[in-house]
Parts: sequence; C-alpha cells; structure tokens
Amino acid sequence: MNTIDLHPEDLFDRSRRGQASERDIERFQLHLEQCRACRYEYTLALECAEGSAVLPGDDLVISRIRQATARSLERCAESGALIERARSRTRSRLLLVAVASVFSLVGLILTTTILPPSFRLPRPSFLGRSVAAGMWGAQPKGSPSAGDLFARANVAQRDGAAADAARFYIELERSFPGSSEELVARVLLGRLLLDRLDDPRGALAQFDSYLASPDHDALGEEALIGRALALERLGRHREERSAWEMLMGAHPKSSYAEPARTRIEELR
Amino acid sequence: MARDFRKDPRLAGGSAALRQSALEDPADFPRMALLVRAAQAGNIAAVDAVIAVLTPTVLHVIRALWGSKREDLEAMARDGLVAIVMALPTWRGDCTLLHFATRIAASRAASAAPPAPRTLWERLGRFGRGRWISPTPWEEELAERRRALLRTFFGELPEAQGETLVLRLALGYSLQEIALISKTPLAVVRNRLRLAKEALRARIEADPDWDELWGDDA
Repeated sequence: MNTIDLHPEDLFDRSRRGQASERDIERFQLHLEQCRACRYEYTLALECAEGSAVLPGDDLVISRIRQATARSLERCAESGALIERARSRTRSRLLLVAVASVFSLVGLILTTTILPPSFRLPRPSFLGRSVAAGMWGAQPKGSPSAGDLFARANVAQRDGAAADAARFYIELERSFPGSSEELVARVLLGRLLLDRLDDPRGALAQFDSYLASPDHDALGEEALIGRALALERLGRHREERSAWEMLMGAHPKSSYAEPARTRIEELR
Repeated sequence: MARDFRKDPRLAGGSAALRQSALEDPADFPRMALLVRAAQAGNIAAVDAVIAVLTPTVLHVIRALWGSKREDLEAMARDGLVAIVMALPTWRGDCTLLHFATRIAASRAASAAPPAPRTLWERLGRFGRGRWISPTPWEEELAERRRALLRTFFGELPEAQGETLVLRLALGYSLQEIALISKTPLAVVRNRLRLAKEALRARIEADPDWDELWGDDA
C-alpha cells in the first residue's frame, strides 16, 4: 500500500456530499481517527462550507457586487482599461458600420439581381426591420433590453435549458439586431444549435450571419470553426474543405489547426 | 474527548451539493471560452456575462476563506472581479475560466489584511482571543482561527498545490472535477493534494498555536 492509498479521497467526497452509506461513514470515521492529515483536511472543508453557505438575500448581494464591479470598471476606463478600449472601438465601428451598410446594401441588391434565386447570401443584420427600435430605444416600455435577453439566455444555457436559451437568443436577434449582445449571440446560438440541439443547418446560418457582419473580429475564428463543423454534419464536404482552408488561412495558429489539417487531408 | 465526526450534522452534506449547482458547470466551458474571447476583444456584453457567471464563485471563495461575517466582503468580491476582468487578456484557454478566476480570487483573498477592530470591545476580544475573553462562541472562534490558518498556509504552498487545495476545500470539488477544471491529469491532482495535505499536517504540528486547534476539545 502506498501513501496515496492511505487517504481515501473518494470516501471523503461521498461523505461530504451526503452520498455515503452507513458503512462508508464508519470506514471514513475510522480513517479520520487514525489520519491527522485527513482530519485537518475534512475539518477545514467543513469550516469553509459553513463560512460560504448560501444565505437568504444572496441574490441581492450578487447583484450589488455586479453593479459595483461595473462601476469600478467604468472608473478604470479613465486609465485606458478594457471598457474604454471597447467604447472607443464601438465609436469608431459605428462609423465603419454606417459606411459598410451603404456598400453592403448596394452589393446585396446587385447580388440578388444577378445571382439565381436558389443562392442567397445571409441577410445582414442591419437590414432587419426592428433595427431602429433596437438602436434608438423605441421598444415598448417594460420589454426586456438586449442585456436582459442576453443574460437570460446565458443563465438558461448554464442551467442546461438549451431550448430556452435558443429562444432567448433568437428573440435577442429579432429585437436588437446589430447590438453588441446580438453579435456575440450569433456564435453562441450557432454552437448551441450545433452541439446541443442537433440543428447544423440553423447553426450554419448563424455562423454565416456572424461572418457577414462587418463587426465580427472578436469571434471570427470560432465562427469559422463552427461553420466547418456544421458543413461536415450536413455532409457538404467540398464546402467543408474550403471552410477549413479558410480557417487555416485566416488563423494559422488556431487551436483547431491540427484537426483542420487532418480533415483537409481526409477530404482530398 | 475526540471529535465524533459521525455525529457531525454537517456530514449530511446536502448543502454542498446545493452550492455545487450554483457554481459554473464544467460542461459549460466551451460557451465560457466563447464569451471570454468576445470579452477579450472588448465586447461589453460579454464582459458583463463573464462577471455574472463568476460573481457567485468569487463570493464563495472569499466567504470560504474569511467566513460570511466580514463587513467588506462585497468590496473584496468587487476588487477580485475587477482583477479578473483586467487579467482576462492573459487567459489563453490553457485552464478553464473557473480555475483562472479562482486562482486570482483566492490569491487576493488570502493576502487581504484582516479587518481592523473598530471598538474597544473588539480590541479586547482580539487581545484575549482563545484565552479568557471571547465575545464569540468558542466553536465560531475556532472556525475563524482555522480559516486564518488556511489563508496563511495557502500563501506558503507552491502555487499549484495551493490552487488544488482551494478548489478542494473552498469550492468542494472532487478530484475528478479538479482535474477537469484545471485541465490536469488526475494522477497529478491526486499527488498535489497529497503533498499539500502532508505539508498542512507538518505545518500544524510544528506550531503549538495551530496544533491546539485540533486538540482533544476541538
């Protein structure tokens, strides 16, 4: 028997989580009486658990901490920290988006006129009907904001309610196209549809829509990966190969570079 | 008389499972990685989402190391979260976000100064701690002293062992979960924990002030 065997960590876990049988507890008790290291560990674990127990009103405490953190980050903005960089980037991007919108609109009209009707490019989000409502706050009073919908979707996804999460993301996309939240949501929804809801076609539309956005640099790599995976699931192997090549060209150091290379070889 | 762990009501352990469910789900890491990438690129909504996910964890770590009675816990949690957000650009996905955040929060919490006693009575209580004047029940006092031991010990351990110990004791993760969270082989986690426990035992037994916390009455 080596030293590791002397500390029954599995018994420790079962006891702490209330999953131990009477016999387990007796064995664990016997061990604790003989092993000081485990006795210290177990006592400290209990003290930590008691100290950090969830208390009534913790939701409010967490909400206050989040607000205080946001305020602190605002103050950090003066020293050129993350939020300030984000804001200045947003300002400059607004101008870029405005210019890109004009060009894209012209391009889209030309494309739909020239190309056969069976081939459609993803519709840019800024052409959505409710864009004005989302950007200038014309939505009815009391309706959830983009941040609310984004948070609800994230909570739902975290809780394993994939269908609910997808519903919130879709509502966010419909109500606030072009918002910061909506842009990130396209990739999150894409992965959700691909990984949990078995909808590669819907996922592909999300990734394409994100990549078609002029403001898509943050999650470009992930969207390209998702696009290639969705095409693989759809059995569209020629397009899939070209998607992997696009990823390798744009992000040669991607964490997916090796699998991408292997897959390209397989598809040759 | 030695402590009888069989009679310890905390052995029921249900609350640990409840707390566990409030923490980040290890299966949710791919989504978090996406959010962090967006936050790193300056997307404010993603930064907010990351803060929302991490706030309960950070609060949990701080309470585990300081108890829930410290008045400036919220300020400590806020500062920990700001530090985590500021450090986000350095996160490369080589460990999970939870591990990354826990490391920063635990390190800041362990090195935080104890709150200053405000009243004469509190000063007297501190002076007489564990001797003849104690404004708090003895068990509570012992618990606080053990947490102080853990904070001190966390700062003395090699970083990897300290993190493993915090994930194990403060957040209640099993060895398998720690391996998943820290993206480390299970055997390595087991070894780190064993070394940390042996160091803890040696440290306690070498210091009479700490050894008395586990005396016959403890």
